Amino acid sequence: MPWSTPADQDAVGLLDRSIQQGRLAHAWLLTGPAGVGGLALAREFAKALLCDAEQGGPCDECRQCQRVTSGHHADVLIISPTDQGSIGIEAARDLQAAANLQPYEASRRVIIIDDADTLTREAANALLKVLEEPHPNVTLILVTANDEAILDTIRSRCQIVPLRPIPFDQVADALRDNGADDESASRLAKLSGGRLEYALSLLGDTTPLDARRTALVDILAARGEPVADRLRRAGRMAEDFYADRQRLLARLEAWASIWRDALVVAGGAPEDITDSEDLERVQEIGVSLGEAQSALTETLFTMQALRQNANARLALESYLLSLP
Amino acid sequence: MKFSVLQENLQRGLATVMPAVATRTTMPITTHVMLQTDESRLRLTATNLELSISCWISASVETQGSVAIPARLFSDYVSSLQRDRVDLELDTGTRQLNIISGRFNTHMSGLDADDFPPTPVADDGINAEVPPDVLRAGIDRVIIAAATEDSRPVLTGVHTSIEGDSITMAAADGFRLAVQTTRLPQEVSEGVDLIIPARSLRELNRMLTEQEMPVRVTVNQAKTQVQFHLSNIVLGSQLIQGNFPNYRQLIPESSNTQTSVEVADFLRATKTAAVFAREGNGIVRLYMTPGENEMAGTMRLEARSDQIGDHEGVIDANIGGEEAHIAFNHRYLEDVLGVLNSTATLEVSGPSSPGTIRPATTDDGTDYVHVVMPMFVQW
Repeated sequence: MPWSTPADQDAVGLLDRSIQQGRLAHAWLLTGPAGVGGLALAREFAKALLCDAEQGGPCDECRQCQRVTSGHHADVLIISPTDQGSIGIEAARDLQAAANLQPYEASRRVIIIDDADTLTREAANALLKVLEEPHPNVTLILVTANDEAILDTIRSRCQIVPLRPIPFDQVADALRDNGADDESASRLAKLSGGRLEYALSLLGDTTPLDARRTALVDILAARGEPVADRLRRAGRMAEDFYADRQRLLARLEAWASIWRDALVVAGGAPEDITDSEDLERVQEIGVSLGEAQSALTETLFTMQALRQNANARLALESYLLSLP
Repeated sequence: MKFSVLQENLQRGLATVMPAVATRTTMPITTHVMLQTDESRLRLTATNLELSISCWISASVETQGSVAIPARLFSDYVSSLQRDRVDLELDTGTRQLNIISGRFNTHMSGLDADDFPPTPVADDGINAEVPPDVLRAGIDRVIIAAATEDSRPVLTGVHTSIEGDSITMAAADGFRLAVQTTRLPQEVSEGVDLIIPARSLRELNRMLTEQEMPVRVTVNQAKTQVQFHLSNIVLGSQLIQGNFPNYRQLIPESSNTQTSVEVADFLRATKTAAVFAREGNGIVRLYMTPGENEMAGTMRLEARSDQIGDHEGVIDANIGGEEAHIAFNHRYLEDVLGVLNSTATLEVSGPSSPGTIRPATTDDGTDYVHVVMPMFVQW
């Protein structure tokens, strides 16, 4: 049976073969950029592991597959970060408890940890205990977009499966299969940077596209502003951050995407711009290659700082002042 | 689904299954209780994916069906009703449960019973009958030694092995070990080794007080689940994975000093000494002195705390072998003496070897041994 997943087929093939040949690692680390479909692949892998059908791959018809799909399978535990953005000790205790008990309704237990890079130190240590003394019928699947933030001691106990962005044409094809017209398929494919899950999410929800538009307007406005105005802008952004962290981070992600385009344009490859409709206005930003690169780096750095609880106002002030 | 039950039956049934309702969970439906008509009875089921309890109560069933209802809400609601008939009817389209009791009319939203974790079935594997008092005695005497923290998960369970015509339960936490073996009235056809979570056995123990018929113990083929079949109740538990340490080798085979004491005296003396030991580091020192010239021997218990003061108590004891001294944590002594009665024997081989405590007389076919590690102190 084919796997229905937006992820990279090399990775799918690797997982599929490991089941067919009975060479199952007890822990896997699926790592690739956000939106590449790691969690969806982990779920699909869980199905394939538990599926009643004799032939590999999830059949999507047996009771096991259906219960995994509906999220009611007692042997599939999915742990994701709380609203505070981290996976704490409480979740890790659930994980330990699940890992130490025999499976409930299937032949094995599957524990999926999404955004495994957000494990707190205590939670990571609890996970490590489980990894150190694995039970033969427990499979752990860690998913992360931030491979470097995973402890070496954890990484070294996992089989690593890199999830790569998939070729532009394949994304566009998949988008067309999901009802997009030619124009938006090609536009969203480019915008997604090969991350099919993200591209598919754009089909139903254009927020990230709107966010790019807004970011472009903001960047153009900030370009001409004197220092005092930039500081005021930083203040407003800090307030937004305190009101809704995730939203401001999404906004900065859109800024990063614009700076990336500015870099591409400054580097003389305007055809590689994310969204060709934006070309004129990105050119309007008018920065040099070096300036665009440093702005992009600063944006990513600021996002990281904010995620790690830096003082938002200071971080954003310093960011806006650093912009060309 | 449409049926009627008596409020008191429903309340009792809910109270039975509540301990298995999940409190904090990644799967919301496990905070629900499943109501399921079973011919002319109503079956209530709750599970937290470790412990699951089903309970049957009599009901007058008009149409069959099932639904999952928020457990705490439903239980609070039912216990507030007066002792009367309660009529329940499920709207299968909206999964609203309509509850009518006297002139009270209530609607409660439920979830699809198909999404409820399937009730474990353990009828295809091992099958043994155990008298309830045998189970209770085993659980009481063994569970005290089970580890409470999760640093070594297997030790939070009770190793239970059924073999031939005997059942052996064992628990250990790294400082003590308790093993009880009891004869079964009937031989089992196939032996089995299980590690049952101590938490599940604690719940089982509470239910056994009202049980008179033998308890049927079943384990599924895959040896992942155990079920205890009581009258109108089935308690199921997931088993703990892993290997239980080989504890047989931890039980000393011989000793240099054998002390036989009245359990009540020993316990009282330990509790008194504990008042001082608690303030220190929990140490109670025991000095065993054999009697001379037909006189009974004595056991002296000492405890001291630098801040409070010290205490020394002496009790009569029959002592065989040589003079001896040893120090124990008072809590471990209190735990084991609390589950024994009449006379107990303490055997030691020196201040740094483990001590064993056994009942002085054993019932037919029952064998209990409790091994405690000594505390290392300056003598």
